[in-house]
Amino acid sequence: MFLALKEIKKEKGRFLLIISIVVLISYLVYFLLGLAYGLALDNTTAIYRLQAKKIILADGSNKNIQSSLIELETLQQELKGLDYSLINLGRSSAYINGQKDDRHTISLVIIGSESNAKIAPTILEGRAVMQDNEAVASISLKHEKDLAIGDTIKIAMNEKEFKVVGFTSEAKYNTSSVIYTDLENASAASMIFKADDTKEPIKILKRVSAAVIHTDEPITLTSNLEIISIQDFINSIPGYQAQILTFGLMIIFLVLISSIVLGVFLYIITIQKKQTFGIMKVQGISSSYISKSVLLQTLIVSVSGLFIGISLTYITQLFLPVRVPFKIDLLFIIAITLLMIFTTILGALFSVKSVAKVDPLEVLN
Amino acid sequence: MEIMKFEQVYKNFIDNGETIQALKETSFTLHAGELVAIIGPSGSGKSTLLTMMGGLQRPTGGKITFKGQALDTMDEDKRNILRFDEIGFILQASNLVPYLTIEEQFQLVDKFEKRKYDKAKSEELMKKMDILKRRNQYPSDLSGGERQRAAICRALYTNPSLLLADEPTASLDSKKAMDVIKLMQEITRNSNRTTVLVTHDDRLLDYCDRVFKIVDGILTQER
Repeated sequence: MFLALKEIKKEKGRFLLIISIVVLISYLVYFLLGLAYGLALDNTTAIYRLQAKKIILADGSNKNIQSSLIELETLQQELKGLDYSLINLGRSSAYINGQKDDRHTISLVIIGSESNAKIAPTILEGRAVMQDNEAVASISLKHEKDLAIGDTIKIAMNEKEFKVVGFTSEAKYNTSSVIYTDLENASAASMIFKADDTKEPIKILKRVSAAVIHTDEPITLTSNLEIISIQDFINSIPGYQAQILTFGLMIIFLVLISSIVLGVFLYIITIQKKQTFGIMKVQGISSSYISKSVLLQTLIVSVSGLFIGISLTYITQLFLPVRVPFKIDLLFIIAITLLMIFTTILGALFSVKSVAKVDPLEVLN
Repeated sequence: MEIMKFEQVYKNFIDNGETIQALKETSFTLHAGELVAIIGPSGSGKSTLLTMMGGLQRPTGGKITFKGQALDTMDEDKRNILRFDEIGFILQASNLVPYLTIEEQFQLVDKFEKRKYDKAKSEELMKKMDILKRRNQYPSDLSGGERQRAAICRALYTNPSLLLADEPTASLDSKKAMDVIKLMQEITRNSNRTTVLVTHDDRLLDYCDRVFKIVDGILTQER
């Protein structure tokens, strides 16, 4: 500790330079991590909020809820006695208050459920859906599009208008914001019928998109239905795995490269101190004492650099536009920080090896 | 009192497959309170001799004893401890750690030994060597003479029985060189320790009790 701290005190400029490298690299890593996590949430928050363990889709729907349509009667018979919620999911562009400019146009996912279902949204502001053509919107629409209670959302596909009566916590599916309504209003039939096609088509609910199961108990299905785990369902969201893998690989490579860069820096600095280490060894100071000091210096440099990197990431989050899918998860931050510290220490072990190799005779010669 | 004994010690090196005898069979004894000089041309084997005395390398053959303990067969950890406790090195380029202040050089010794810093002892040494006012400075801020005196202080801090000095006055002007050798003579006599200095400087020899000359690995006592 003594040697490590005294050297940092004396060589402030040199160590500031190394710390700044750690700061910049870690800032990039944390920033990418925030984007990756934000994007992952943009794909999945609505699914996680269903509190489901499994989902039942039509056989052959390729794990895609938008391709799934199940006869309601069959489904209710199959799931008798189970803890489940019926769900309808539609997707369309929509306009806020009927205005079709860019600012008021949104890509929307409409989720329908029974009012007493477990998947019904928790209300943050306003009230729950009570009447036909009412909807509760994700709070992200308030933040990103200035949507307010009382505004209307017109579905581009069928020109149906929903009145926003409340907001629920952020819910997105496949990067689109979600509005929640009743089961009938989000049905496939309702989505394809325009108001003048038939008088009241949406009231005839014959089919639903899927059912989510809230328990882990095994289920045996006799009909042509497919049962998949929620994680499997999430992994099948179009583009989701590609995004996760791309960001994941970028982050892992950055962590590895940063550790190598830092390791090389520390190695060069250690090599430059060969003469000093030789002097200490001549005096009888052991290699292990010197090596501990090198490792401690690495720890101090990496921990302080990572701490500043994390702080900068949090500050950046405050200034990012709300539309940027950026979210910080403390657990991920801790995991990446520990990984970076570990790999940096691993890199520093090369320096330690070089310390052990220093021959005090070289100093005398 | 006998401090160090060399009995038929020799050292060979292999260079490009050829055996080079850096030190031919040598025997001598060093006693407490002696100031001994080793002179000789460059490459004659002076440093080889000094490093074997300090336990930094083992002889190819023969026996070296330090205060009765066999130094030539001692393992590296024990030699490190012995060097730390009993042997003080004063190097040509000074044996100071560049990123520690003069006072911190002493603190390092106590930190390594996990004991409390002996401030009174370090101050006494620095006062004696007239560098007390430079205690908070780094070696690079000191003049050559001050640096060498600080190096002597540091070497004396562990109260070694044997002081090994490699060209301790090489970078100093005449007056400072004389000051340093007088100081070394004083600390050798007054503390009853043994000092061995390797030097090219003939002016220092008058202050030494014995002078050895080494040429082509052969050590002879000049006086």
